[in-house]
Amino acid sequence: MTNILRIAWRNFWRNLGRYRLLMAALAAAVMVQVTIMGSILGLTDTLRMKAARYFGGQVVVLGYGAESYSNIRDAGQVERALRSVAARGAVLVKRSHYYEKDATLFFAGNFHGQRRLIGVDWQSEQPLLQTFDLVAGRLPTAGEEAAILVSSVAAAALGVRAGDEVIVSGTTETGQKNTESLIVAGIFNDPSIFGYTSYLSFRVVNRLLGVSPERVTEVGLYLPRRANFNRQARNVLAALAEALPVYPLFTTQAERDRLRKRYESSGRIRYGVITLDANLAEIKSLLDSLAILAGFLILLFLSIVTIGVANTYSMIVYERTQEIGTMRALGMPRAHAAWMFLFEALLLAACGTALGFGGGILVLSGISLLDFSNREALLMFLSRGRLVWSLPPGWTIGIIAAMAAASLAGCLRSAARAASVAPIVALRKE
Amino acid sequence: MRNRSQLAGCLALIGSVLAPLSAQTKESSDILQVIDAQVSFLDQDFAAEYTVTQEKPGQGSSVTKAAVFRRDREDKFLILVLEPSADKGKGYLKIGDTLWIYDPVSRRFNVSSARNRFQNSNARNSDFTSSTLAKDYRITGESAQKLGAYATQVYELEALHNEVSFPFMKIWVDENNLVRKFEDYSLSRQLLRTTAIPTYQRVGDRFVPAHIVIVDALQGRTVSGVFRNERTIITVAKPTLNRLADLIFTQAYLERTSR
Repeated sequence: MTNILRIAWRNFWRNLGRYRLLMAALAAAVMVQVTIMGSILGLTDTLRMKAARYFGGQVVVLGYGAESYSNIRDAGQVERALRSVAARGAVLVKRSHYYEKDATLFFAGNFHGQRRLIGVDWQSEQPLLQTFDLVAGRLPTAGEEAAILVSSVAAAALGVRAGDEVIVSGTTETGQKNTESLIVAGIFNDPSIFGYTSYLSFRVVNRLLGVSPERVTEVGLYLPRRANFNRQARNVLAALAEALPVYPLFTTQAERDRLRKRYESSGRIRYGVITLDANLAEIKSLLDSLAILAGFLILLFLSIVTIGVANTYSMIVYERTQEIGTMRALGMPRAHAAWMFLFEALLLAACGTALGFGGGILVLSGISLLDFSNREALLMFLSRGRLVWSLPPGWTIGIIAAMAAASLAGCLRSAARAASVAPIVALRKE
Repeated sequence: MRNRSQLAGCLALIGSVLAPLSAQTKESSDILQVIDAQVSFLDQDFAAEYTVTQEKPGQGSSVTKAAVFRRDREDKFLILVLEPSADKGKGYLKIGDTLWIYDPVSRRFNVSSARNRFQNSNARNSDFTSSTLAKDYRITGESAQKLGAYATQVYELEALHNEVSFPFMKIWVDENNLVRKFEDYSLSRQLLRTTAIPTYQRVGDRFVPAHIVIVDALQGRTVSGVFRNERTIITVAKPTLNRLADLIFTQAYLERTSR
């Protein structure tokens, strides 16, 4: 077989001129796939990273009783349940959120409304907070209760810089106006919907709300990249169900609200688990549509490649009938004749794919230099207004395999024809 | 016998400690009741035309004119927006603890809170209700202070319950028991807004503010090198204590008048 491979390489190298056009077509097809997949995966990864930070992990436990907002009354039990099933490398995230819409930051007469105030534990959330794209200042460390992280949007609206003192205003759970003076430790870049949020110590949030300093509203798991979020969520729910009353797994935010309303009359705290995908269900449908469109485009390109390879090899086999006949007359088995052409097709695919990957990465790098900051709808998918493309090894292997398969499929019929060439036919042709 | 005398001694001691406190609370409530009585209309209805001017430094000002109807004895008020034309017909109806906002465009009533801002100004919906200082606060401190031309008593107030927006207040009260200045504080004692009432007008045997200036302590802007706070000026005109029709304090009235 090594000899066949050597002959295939020699034929491929000698007929390079003939393959040039087809190789360019293959490279173009790979380039399109790399560009599409790299962009979509990059957009999705950025969105997921921001969302995981915003929602407090990829798997989050919520507790609902008579109140409309989550409150984890049995924090110890919930924590134990999460720890018992948490994947290796997972970070436990305990938060206290200020959910009301009246949270406002004030500085030097300017003000900026916040969608949500997120109360975090600076120490335990370090792995999650390190995903922030800080444009000024630093991440607060353990014990820095008076620190706050504000977004670039809020900083611009307030005219605030790292080290300045801002006033956070809100309302206690019983309806009284309350304020906290905090020092801006850092400013993170996020002009998207996730940027209308500030991060502060959960004890400060609880003080603002006038509730117990240790109150927790959500407990989540920030999982390693390769962890299976859905399986982890099912495990967490099962572990919770052993000791506490639970809801079925929340598959969307709408379903969470529906289930909460159904059980709220009982007044008893019931716990539920929501995944990042469920939190992003509405946005995910947009990404799914994009992925379907991308899938169609890729299929179209693969079909073109297959047809192109089929036509080219049909011609090549016709033109090289004498050569095949001679080799067959010298004792080459039929299968080897077929393999020779299949190897040539694979070499063609390998070269086209390599060139395509190079081109695709160049295109992606070019796109990542473009600034889309003024496209508001795109901001949640971008970092600093730019695309951060991503092409994990799995997808890279997938594209290589798809191209190899398309080339082989295109060449298969011609290879079979080459295998069926009889030496006498080749001599007759001369 | 000895135990009984010890118990009596203890009770006497507790009584001697609590008695001044109770007297203090009663005195505090009495002072605030007098202040409330000056600007409340528990035996009459009240109506007036309010002009609310919201000044945002560097951004100009906006004016809202509204007719205000109050029936304090039933804890009711109705505010009908007359100007600007874009908000004409919009109404606020408060009956007891419930406050509805009527939108004439959608013809819908939405439940709101007395704690919310009135027409995006620094005034709150609760500023249009009767004064309930005695019910809501107790005096925790007192001092004398000259406030412009007025010799005033400054009372530091603390909320008695959680139903009020501002847990702490300071009020400046003149010799006629009229509040000349308020300062509203958050739970962490951050000054949130200052209200000045430089002039009152007499209506019957009661007083109605003629001008109210509300200064937001947190919002403002530096204009020409000088920091200016956002402020709201309320002018109260045509006050009357004539009896109002019961129909006025109904949703039907708002729907009908805004047509």
